[in-house]
Amino acid sequence: MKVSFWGVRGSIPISGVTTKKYGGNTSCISISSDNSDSLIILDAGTGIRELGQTIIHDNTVKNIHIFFTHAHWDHIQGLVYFEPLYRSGYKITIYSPVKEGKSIERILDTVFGDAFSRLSRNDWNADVRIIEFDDSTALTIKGGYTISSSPLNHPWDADAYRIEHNGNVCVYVTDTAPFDHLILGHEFIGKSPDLSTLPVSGEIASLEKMKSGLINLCNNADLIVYDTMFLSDDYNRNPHWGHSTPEHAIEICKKVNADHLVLFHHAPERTDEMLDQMSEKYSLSRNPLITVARENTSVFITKSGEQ
Amino acid sequence: MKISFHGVRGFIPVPGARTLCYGGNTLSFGVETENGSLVGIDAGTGLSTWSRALMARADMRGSGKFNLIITHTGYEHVQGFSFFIPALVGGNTVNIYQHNDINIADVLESQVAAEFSPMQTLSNFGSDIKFFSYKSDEIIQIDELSIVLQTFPCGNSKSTAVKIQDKNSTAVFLTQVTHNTESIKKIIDFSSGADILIHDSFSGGDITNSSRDFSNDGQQAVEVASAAGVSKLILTRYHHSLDDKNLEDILKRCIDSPSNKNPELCIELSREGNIILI
Repeated sequence: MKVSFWGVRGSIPISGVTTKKYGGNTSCISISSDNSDSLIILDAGTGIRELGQTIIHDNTVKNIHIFFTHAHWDHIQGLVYFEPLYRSGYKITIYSPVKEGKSIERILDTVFGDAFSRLSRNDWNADVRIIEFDDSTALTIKGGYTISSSPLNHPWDADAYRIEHNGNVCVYVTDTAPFDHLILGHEFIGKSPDLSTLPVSGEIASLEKMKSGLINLCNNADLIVYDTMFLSDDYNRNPHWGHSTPEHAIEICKKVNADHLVLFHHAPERTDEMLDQMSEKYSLSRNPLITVARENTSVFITKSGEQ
Repeated sequence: MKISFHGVRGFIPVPGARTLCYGGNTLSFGVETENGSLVGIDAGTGLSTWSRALMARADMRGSGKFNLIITHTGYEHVQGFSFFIPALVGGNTVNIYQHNDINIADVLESQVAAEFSPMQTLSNFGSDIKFFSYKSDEIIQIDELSIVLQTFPCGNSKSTAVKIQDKNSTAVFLTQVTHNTESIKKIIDFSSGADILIHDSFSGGDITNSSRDFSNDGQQAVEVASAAGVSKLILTRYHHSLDDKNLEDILKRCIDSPSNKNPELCIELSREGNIILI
């Protein structure tokens, strides 16, 4: 299994010399295997544009499966410029878990609407299907992939995804707050809450349920890609923004005995120098191995002997 | 008049080594008055980058006023607004100016709706965000700056041209425009006599195609600048497929263009981080 990083940034793309090493594109990773012509794409931040060009150039992948963790712009803003959508010969399936108050059709209509975009859904020449699925059961898709999901702790919801192929397992966990203080839902929280008073008793069970759901999803994962947009000071200042620190991610990885943690969804202000320091800080860790996500790189999972 | 460039890219941001010289952020320009008043033109991702620098100003931490003109509703003109830090700070005021023909307010509200943004609605931003609509013959006065907005056809939509004048100089921003035989005369009239014309360089074609032909990019801008008698033309809104070398090729073709009838016309590429004093 090959996990490739096309956009590793959170919130908003960032351009310039201070982020050129790790990259400035927003969230997008792809998963492929050497005995499958299907490609899984997780999120469609601006990184998906470059991925689209690579797919056209390489001309090997024809079946594309796109999953979104949620519809915040940094996870969907590149979709309009995903070139295979406009080319015939590609079979593209867009998946969305069924959720109350959410409609993938409405989201796509807005993203490709006249106000924002000169390109519309009518311009698509690929064979595009949209599938809403029940996220309480695993989904099997062509190419031998099994996809399952679990809810995350993020404003207006998000989902983690587990992708299995021939015994290799990658779990994609973004965006999420930890499960220690407060449940983030549809209510807008304008000011940083006082962490010393949290969690309130009514939320403890819900937090534990969400955490155990994620731990089950991550069980025996070879690779976990985790939202670590925050450092501990950031989290203490803004626990209501819905992001984690490396320590939160490490806690989950240790519980499930994951082999490899990739720190992901870097804050736009996190420079290459800062990310180098983060990489150095965790370089001696072996349980799990910890690396920092970097654009245009890939991680190979070879537990089952395939790539 | 001081003009600053924070985002010069059209369509979608393109960070990376290929765009390091001229920049990969989407559209954002700044004009600063002698008194330090700020006028932003467009709210692409460059506005977010600019706003981190703006927070060094004491007034932007709770008593500041920022004036913003958004010329078009497309992604490259609006997508940085959610991360424009002064708009998130209580006590600040953000005045957003729009032409009567274009409803920027509704588009920004749609952009920050709950499914798409943790802010959920503009009223959750900490600052006082106000919208002002103007007709083509009305003047927006900000300190010594007199500002006029006029709309022109742009595909199926309309785009706003912005003319900013102080007592000594005139700058015109045409950030996204589609020329046709009817509109080009009006565009030339609107730009006539400007010291600086900052003009869309995209010449059309298949937006999605990463290998589109860009040999005509900038040529219509040269035609307008030359006919309008402007002193300096600055090309902007580069297609996402273009790297730094491609842009320099476009500049060379524009300098050598047969459409340029004015040998005195200075032509440059807009570049993130540049500041021009007129």
